[in-house]
Amino acid sequence: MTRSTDAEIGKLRHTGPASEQALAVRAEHDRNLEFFLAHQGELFAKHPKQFLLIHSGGEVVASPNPFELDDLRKTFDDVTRGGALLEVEIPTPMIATPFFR
Amino acid sequence: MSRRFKGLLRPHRPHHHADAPLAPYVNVIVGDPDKLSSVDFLIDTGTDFTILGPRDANDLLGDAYTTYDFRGATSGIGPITIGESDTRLVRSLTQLQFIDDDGESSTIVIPVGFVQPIPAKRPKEGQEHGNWLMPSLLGRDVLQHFDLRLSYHPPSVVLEEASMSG
Repeated sequence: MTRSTDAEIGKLRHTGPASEQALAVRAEHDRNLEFFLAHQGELFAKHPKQFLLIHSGGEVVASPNPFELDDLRKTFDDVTRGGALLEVEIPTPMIATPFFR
Repeated sequence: MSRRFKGLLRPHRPHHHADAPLAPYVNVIVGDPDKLSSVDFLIDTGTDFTILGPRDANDLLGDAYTTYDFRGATSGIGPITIGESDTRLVRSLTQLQFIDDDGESSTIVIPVGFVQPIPAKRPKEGQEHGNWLMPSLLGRDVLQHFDLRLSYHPPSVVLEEASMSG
């Protein structure tokens, strides 16, 4: 999985600024997460008992089959794929949301 | 300076119940530079070792994951108990990268557990999901390097590098 020296294994190390790709993936993830947090009430109401894939800052794909969403996610470029948010199966009834406010 | 990595409280996947408390997650960049994967880990103080759930493992490793013979592994493997079921896993050195709000990173390389997927192949529509919807778990092997701050009122999840961490 990775190449590392014995001395590095199991140690948490400061590794400086993250790579551009890692930052891009993180930014994309945070963008999608912000969208989810801002719209979760309506998402839960609109897509009960479904799984959600949120990508590109607010594109939502809902499906009762989570693996269908995995397949769709694989078709994205690396940053979009990495930052896409795979959400939970939406509960019914709608969850209370005050924790996010 | 001690770095802080923010997580969040969100519904627990899969099958979050409407009346269940939200669960603490943190986003981690997993893997080598040539294959990065963004994984939302459930922070799990009850788990010894960090584990990648089947969907996240499949995303990171592709077919190598679903074709791996978990019975044939000779090291770092054994039947262990996850939850209430006997499940095999392979532990493989894997890089986990935490990124703070300033874009600074802290990295740890540890043996991460890859759970034997049940069923072995990704379920087809209509089939039982088995353990395929199990979340990835951030265990105590990683958490021991942080001070974990968790609050529900107000909502806050923070991993702060422990001062004793190497």
